[in-house]
Amino acid sequence: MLDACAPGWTKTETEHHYCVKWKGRTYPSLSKGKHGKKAGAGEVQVGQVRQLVRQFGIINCAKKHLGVLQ
Amino acid sequence: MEQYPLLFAFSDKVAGKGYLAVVTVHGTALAAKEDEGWWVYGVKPGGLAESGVTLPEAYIEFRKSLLRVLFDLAAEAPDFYAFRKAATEFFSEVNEPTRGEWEAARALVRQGKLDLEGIRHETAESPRRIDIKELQTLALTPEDNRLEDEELGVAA
Repeated sequence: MLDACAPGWTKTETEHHYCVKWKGRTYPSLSKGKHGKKAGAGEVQVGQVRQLVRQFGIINCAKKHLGVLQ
Repeated sequence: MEQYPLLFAFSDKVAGKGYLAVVTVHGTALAAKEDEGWWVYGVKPGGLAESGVTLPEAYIEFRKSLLRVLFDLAAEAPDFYAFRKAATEFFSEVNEPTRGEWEAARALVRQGKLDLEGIRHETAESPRRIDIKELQTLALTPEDNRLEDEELGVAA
């Protein structure tokens, strides 16, 4: 989805999160899910994806690629 | 979907490379009751969202996530001034769509159509800000120990 809606996006791994950046906007708190240290964490939850696409201003495009955001 | 406009404030200490900082955050967030539970979405700062079975649980996760972002920024910053700049920039990024929903929810609170039981009303006119101070550790004494005030309210 990000390849289509936020071309050129970058992701770096910090100790606690993935930090996603695009066009000067930053989402620094994407969950690492099962790869992280938080016990019992599943994969990235839809609420975080929802907040990320809002932060980047790509809601309409993201909805076309992720039905869960409808 | 139930949505509630929150104002929150807390202080915490963040250790960096050769410094200890006290960070006080006066932020804004939107609480939402969704099918899968409660979510707390950041407005200012806008780059985070966390969930829980209950609203208190979701807020605690949100608070932890915000602090972990500050820890990550401290780990990357070469000195206090770079950390303060990065933390200020993180705080200043507003999530505009979420802010729109926050404003709409606050309007309902002001009209008396919306309320959260057990959480006091806070005026939204209090300035939203982040304060970051470097602690002079050599000057610290046990008298500096104190329980930090923490606030959570519904914007009214």
